[in-house]
Amino acid sequence: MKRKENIPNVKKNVLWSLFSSFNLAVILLILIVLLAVAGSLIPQQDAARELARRIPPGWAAILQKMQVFDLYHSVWFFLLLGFLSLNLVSCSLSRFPVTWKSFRAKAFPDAFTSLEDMTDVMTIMTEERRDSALQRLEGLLKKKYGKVEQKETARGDFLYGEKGRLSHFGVYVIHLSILVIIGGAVAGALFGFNAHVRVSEGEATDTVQLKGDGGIKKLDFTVRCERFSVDFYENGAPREYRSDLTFLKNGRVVHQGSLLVNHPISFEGIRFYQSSYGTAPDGKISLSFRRGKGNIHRRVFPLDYVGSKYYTGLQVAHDPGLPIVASGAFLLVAGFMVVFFTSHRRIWISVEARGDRTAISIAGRTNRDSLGLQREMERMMTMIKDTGVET
Amino acid sequence: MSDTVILSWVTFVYFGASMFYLIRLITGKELWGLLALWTTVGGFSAQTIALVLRWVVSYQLGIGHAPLSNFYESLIFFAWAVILLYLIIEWRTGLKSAGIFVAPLAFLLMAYASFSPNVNSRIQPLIPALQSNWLISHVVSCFLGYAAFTIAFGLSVMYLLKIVKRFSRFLPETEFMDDLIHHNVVMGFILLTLGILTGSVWAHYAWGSYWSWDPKETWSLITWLIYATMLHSRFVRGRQGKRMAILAIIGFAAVLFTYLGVNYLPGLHSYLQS
Ligand code: HEM
Repeated sequence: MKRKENIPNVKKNVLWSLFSSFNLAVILLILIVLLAVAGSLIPQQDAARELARRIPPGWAAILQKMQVFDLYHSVWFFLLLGFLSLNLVSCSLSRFPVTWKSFRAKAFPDAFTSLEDMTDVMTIMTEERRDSALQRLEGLLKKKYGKVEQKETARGDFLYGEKGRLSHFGVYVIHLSILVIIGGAVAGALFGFNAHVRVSEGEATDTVQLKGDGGIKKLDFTVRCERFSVDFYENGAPREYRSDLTFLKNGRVVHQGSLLVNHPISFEGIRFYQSSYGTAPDGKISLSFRRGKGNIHRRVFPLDYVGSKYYTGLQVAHDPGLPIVASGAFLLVAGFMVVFFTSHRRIWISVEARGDRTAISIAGRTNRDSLGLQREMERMMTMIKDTGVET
Repeated sequence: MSDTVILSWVTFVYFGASMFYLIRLITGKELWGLLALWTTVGGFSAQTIALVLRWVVSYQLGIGHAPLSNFYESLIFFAWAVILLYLIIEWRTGLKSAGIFVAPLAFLLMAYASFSPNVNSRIQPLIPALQSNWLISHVVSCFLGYAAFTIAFGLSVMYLLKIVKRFSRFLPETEFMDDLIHHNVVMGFILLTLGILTGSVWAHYAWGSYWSWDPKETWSLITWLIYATMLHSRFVRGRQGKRMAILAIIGFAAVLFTYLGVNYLPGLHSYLQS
């Protein structure tokens, strides 16, 4: 990050103020939403081929060129993500000095006197003596806020407590996590692959067919399907698909395992998923069970192909961005915890002799959730009153 | 009595509660509010019992799983979560006038689940892809989030009605509603985020990719971005009130589309693998 002194100069730059503006963020977010909506309405990738056949070829070619049929991997989408990332970085950098200042803010036990605008200063009068009130209040504040600062002034005595300073950084953690997730997703899209392969029982392969362009990719090892089995419930719905796989390197068996849906096998950074199956000789029956989020009716074909061999359809994926995206997700959740469940609260209590009575006032400040602070202050006030009577 | 029979009765109970809340709004008499509250509590208890019963029965059938696995069960759980959240809010804040904007939504969900010919209420066994604990946490957090967004929607309608003077007599202060809308949206946003993340983990194990731009995923992201923009306009610009209420209504439309609309999108089935 740039040193702090640089920021005022940089700020004058037009480009910088454009990129760090919140308006740009709103525009970019709206554009991303529109692109996503378009992508969900216009058939994409394989599904687009049928559409392309129905519309005039000239149009199809133009749309193809504009990458309308693969919006989520299009230049447009990557550009939007790039701008959003730049926006997020510059926005955070330009705000950081202010945050740093609030974080480093000194504890001012007597700031209260000059803060007339403080939200709802509450005051009560008690018969209690100054010394005993001070001692009692310090204990009370300490219990909730840990360390307590104390100061004697001409206007009276002040107690000060604070907590949750780190909450100022929650926003940065969240925004960083978005960058990390975008970075990991792009890395996966650029350097990962997603492929498919069918292996008949008893046979082996070391090549897979890439999704998208349909190219062939050779693996550094061979995978053999020993056996495929499928098991049904009484009503005919599938209960379990299982492929017994063997992984071989240079003809030697290196790894063996059963592959089930929801239990992929990872071998040398490449993950294998149970994704479809069928009968081997003519491959007429091919059942797929992708994307059933609960409410899709599926047809179950009776399997009377006893005797013929099965093939198993494996999805083969490699995604180097995965650990990056996963750490981004952790950061996101951690940032949410900080932002939505903590706040930087500061509380001032003053104890002032007024004639033969004592005035106890309490005031507070917070960077967010002022309602929560107010409730806490009210609770403290009740406790002050309650315990005050006996002394 | 079977769980589905209880649940179809609960539908009518929520309808009754809605009516009582309506009468309370029109007459301003607290007695109706009390009646509405206890009717809702009664319906909610019966619904909870029915859900537990359904869970137990699924085990007796030998296909035991939490009642969160098909469309019917998701509708029921959605309605249950809406009422749960509403009751918590009424209990914590004493707010009664929102009932008329929330209870009918629960009624509609229940009615759709119980009486639509398109919704199969039978307990079905879990196909392999659905046999996952990630899926359960995914469904629970998504629908709790949807419930919070639903309440924010109800409150936003109420807010807009309050601005139209004629309705203002028995509705709470605008600042109070604004704050409550905000809190519900924040809660919904956190839960939707968790829902999307757990859903991605499930997709990673079940489908070979944590994200594959299937329409449901895409629309959940759209919903998430709409609420993110909404929250920012408050955090950064300090926007409040009418604008937030309108955004909460737009956000809720996106929620409904994510939940129901995507099933009607062309091309869903083309996402089936060849
Ligand atoms: C799309 C994903 C995003 C998420 C999930 C997100 C999340 C958040 C959250 C939760 C807050 C509230 C923090 C608080 O209350 O202190 C926040 C604040 C903020 N966000 Fe974002 N944000 C995102 C994108 C962006 C983008 C693209 C920008 C562009 C510049 C941006 C700029 C800001 C600013 C300026 C604040 C106010 C910080 C402050 O109050 O000091 N955010 N964001």
